[in-house]
Amino acid sequence: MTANLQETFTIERELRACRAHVFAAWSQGDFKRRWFVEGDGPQWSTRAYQLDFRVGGWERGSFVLNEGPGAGEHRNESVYLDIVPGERIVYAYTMALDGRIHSASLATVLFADHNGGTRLRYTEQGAFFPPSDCAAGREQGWVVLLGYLQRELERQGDA
Amino acid sequence: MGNHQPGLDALYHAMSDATRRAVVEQLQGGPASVSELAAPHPMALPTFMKHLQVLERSGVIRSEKQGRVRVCHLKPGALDVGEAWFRKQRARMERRLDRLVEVVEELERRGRK
Repeated sequence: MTANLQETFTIERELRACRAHVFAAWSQGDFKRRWFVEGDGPQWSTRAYQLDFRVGGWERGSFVLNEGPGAGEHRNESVYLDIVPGERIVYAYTMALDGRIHSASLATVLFADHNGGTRLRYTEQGAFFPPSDCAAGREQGWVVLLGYLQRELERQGDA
Repeated sequence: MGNHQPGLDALYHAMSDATRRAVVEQLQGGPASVSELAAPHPMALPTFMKHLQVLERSGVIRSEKQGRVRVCHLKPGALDVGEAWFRKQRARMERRLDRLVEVVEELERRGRK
């Protein structure tokens, strides 16, 4: 087996809203927080979130999952690479658990007029780093990954 | 994910041991012979073989004779952690974008009043 360590996926949404409003949901910190941070569910608590939305600016978030597989501090760090207001946003980001970076991604968000509203197209090209750097990270990583695997098996069991 | 998943109890048992986890990590780089797998571990070969048997019974690896050498492979899909991770990551972004639609459409409705 070769582990699947790179992947690209695309998600599309059609919104009954103008492009300026959809773009604002990404560019204004208070607005983005309402869906990006608060959409994650009650088992998560937010330790920090800040957005500096400009090319070269950073978005940093620290979120704590209190229990279960993957418990610990999850940190996102994004840097904005390209911004065309109302049209596109390109950013690179890493995710870390308890200080260990486990993935790096390039995300592209495109906005287009569609049926009097907006079509949003989110594409993520990700690289995932399996746990292998140090013993502590490896142990933690296995616990997390077995948790994912367990949920996946349970999901298949329900199907 | 393949159709023949190891049972969860067997999987957790298989992965509960540091030697067996090291074997799985080594096999993520490709198939390897028993002697290649045993080399990093300071234990008697029969003891090491018991670890391989646990991994094989749990469905994480399979092995076959190639001439005089026994070669071990990870079973496709048995522990494709990358795939499982990406599926989770995508699901998380799907939830967030659903929430974005709600939030933005609510703003738009209020703006039109």
